[in-house]
Amino acid sequence: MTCWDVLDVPSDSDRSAIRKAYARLIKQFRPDESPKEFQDINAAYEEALHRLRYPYLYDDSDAEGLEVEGDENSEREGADYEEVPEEFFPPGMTKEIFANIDEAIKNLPENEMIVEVDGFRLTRGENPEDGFAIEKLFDPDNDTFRENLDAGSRVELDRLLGELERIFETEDAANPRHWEFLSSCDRLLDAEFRYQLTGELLRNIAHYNLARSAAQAPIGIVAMSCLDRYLNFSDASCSDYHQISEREWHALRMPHRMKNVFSSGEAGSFGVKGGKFKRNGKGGGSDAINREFIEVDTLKFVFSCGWVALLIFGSIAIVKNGFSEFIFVLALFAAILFGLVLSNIENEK
Amino acid sequence: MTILAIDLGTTNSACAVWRDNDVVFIPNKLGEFLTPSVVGIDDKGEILVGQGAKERLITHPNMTVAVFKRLMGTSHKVAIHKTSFTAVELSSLVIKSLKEDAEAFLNSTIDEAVISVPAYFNDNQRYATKKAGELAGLRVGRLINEPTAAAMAYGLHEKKEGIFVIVDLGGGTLDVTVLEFFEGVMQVHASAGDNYLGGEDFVEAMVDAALKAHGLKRADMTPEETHQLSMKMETAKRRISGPEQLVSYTVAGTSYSSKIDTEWFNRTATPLLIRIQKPVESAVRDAGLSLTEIDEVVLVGGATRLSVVRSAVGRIFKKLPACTIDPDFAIVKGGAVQAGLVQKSAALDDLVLTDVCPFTLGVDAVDEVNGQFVEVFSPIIERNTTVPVSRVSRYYTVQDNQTEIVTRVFQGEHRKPSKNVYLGSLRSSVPRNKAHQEAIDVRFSYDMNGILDVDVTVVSTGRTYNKVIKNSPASLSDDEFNKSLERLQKLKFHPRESERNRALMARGERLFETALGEERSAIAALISGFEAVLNRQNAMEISKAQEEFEQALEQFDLEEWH
Repeated sequence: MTCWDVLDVPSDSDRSAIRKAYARLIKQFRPDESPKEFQDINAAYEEALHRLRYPYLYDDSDAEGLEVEGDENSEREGADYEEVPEEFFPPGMTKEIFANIDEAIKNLPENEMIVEVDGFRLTRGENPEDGFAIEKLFDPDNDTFRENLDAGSRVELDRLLGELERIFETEDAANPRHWEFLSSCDRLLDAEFRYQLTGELLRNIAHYNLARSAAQAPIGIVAMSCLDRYLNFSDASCSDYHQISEREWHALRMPHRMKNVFSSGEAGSFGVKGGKFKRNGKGGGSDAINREFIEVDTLKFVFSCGWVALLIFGSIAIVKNGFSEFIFVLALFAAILFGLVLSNIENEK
Repeated sequence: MTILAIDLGTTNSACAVWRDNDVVFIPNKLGEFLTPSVVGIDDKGEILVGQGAKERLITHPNMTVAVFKRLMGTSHKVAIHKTSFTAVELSSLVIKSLKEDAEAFLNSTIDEAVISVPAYFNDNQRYATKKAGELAGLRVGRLINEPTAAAMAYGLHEKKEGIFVIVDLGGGTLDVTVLEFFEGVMQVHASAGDNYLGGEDFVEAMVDAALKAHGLKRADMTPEETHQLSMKMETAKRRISGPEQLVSYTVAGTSYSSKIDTEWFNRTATPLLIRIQKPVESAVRDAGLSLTEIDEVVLVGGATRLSVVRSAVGRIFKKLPACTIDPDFAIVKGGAVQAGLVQKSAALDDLVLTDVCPFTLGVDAVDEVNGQFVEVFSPIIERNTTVPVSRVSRYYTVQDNQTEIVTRVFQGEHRKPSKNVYLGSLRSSVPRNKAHQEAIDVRFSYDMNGILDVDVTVVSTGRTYNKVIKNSPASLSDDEFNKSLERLQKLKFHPRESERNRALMARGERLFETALGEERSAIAALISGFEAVLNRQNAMEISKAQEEFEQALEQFDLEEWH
């Protein structure tokens, strides 16, 4: 059953039709009265809106299409950009630059790892099938975002960055107390200003962590959490800041937060079908395993206890009643042990 | 059957019902619609709730407690005189007082309630709130997220379609909710918040800044002095948009004063204002939207009366916030609409509300990274998923001959389980086998009230284990619950009719303590005069004296600050 069947609308419906259908259905199956039906309707609704927003992620002729692409993969390498809508390009990327990059990669000698083209850096992956990692290089002298800020904000930005630079020169730059002064800057309420400051600051922190002397502590999670309270970057990703490259981003000690699967816009996010939740792109075994376990092997434990008990009871039996009693005790323990071994074999099966 | 809607706030509480297709607000015994969330014990050992207790915060700080909502879900106990109370018990006293007000006003008994909680309240805190209601003798049929309630009040009021962001800055918590209103559907997309940011923090910041300017420390002050300074700063905060004010106070017996003007306040408030943007950004991002796609920003909660808060929110969204509903009553109004929905009021047939689970719920698991085992938090229900929701995830054994799997349930956003809130655990037996060969399916079901149900099914044997997460260390067991109930039933309460007199007397005593010289003796004369009338026990005379006494106190209260 597709999401269109659940909502009872044609698959080429627009946003308004989808919403009308959803509204009609959930008034009939209210979340508090019919939780099961509501869940299916809601899942269908979210999928329908997602399909509408990202149609290329749900190419209906994909089954065949994928195979053809797979066959031609070697010849078509690097040319995929022509099919990607431009809105999904990294900032500053154009089709021309992609063509130039393609050209540069083709002409790159095998032993060269890095090439820079039109303000982008390409790093060859360790394995040939990894392809190239692409990152935009930041040019502080040609920062159009910064130029968009009003004059007052630019002055304030330079003042703060100057102040921050002085912190980097001190012995204990990692001490979060130094960074507290940011809390009194009300310009941080302006998203553009904050993004600009955060980007430039994070780039400086990354460089500090990479180039610091042995005597200097890296700017660690404590200081970063302190900064995050005012700058709010732990939720964001590298691509939110044009000043900072992926390599630099990785040099930062981020206070980690979970990503929300449903807002990430991945096609695979919608694995909810009939109540089964399939994990995104992860295999079963290695991803999700279990934790606490009983290390003591119970069977061995029972065996050793058994032998000790047999020894004690046996001795008592011989001393008090003679040999026949001992045989009886022996038979009893043998029976118990046999039962245990049997049940274990059953479990192994 | 009437369901009472309760807004159990950090600073003030309120209640309302859905009757004759509309919201009816309920006045307390003093005739006011807001009841301070303050509990105290008076000289006779009787329990005081509301304004009467609030007045005694200054005069009897050891016998009065406020801001206990922040302790909900913890096992922390607050001592009042010789008795110690949990936050659940204190909240239940406030709820009980509201319930009695409603029963007196409606002239009927009430046994069911809808209580609002901050969206960011975790499972323990929600459970504690439910228990507080039950201790007060109310069945809590539904918990409603505060911003969702506020949104509902706003949406119904404006009847506009579009995408709204509700910024709710109350006394103790900040909640941000993104929701869409279309075709009678109120769909919450995402909620985020800060449990430790509210109006009270602005007062604390003012106190700290004033003390810092004189090189003083909080530790130097007696509890009475601290309460007095906080109370004065609270009043100064309310008049912050007016002319410059001079606040005088004593620290360790020495008198000090601080000049307070708008600019000083703005500077003091900035670090708090900057913290507003984090939940705003998280909520909008989780909703898959950008700030520019928001049609309207709605402010609720008493602290949004502050112009600095309004302008800060305006700067974050680059849009003037709407202030068409009374920020103090939006939540309780929405709660009453929810009560109407539960009562299946015909007028609300065309309205559906959907809500989200505002935090990630999952279990701890072991992940194999480069041959090493690392403990990770494995989410099962991601934050801001529409509820009710039920999700399954499969987990495998890691050791050969492993016979037991312990499913430990956590709530939070951190990669490491230890950094998240532990909610409970569930043991299940698996047959002896090689590692990775045995598996369990863990199903989480999260309902409309924010209560989590965990089911574990052993894949090979089909055996199931179930647990409703409630027995975490912080929440009450049934035994403890009964003990609390017994203890609370033994407490003595004021007869309702004398409540107003008590509140007036407490207010007089508070004024007496804060006033000096001439004023002080005038207040003393007023108090003893009123006491004399009370002793004569003539109802007519008392009601007349009440009015006069109240007006006189009003005068002193105003003069004090000008």
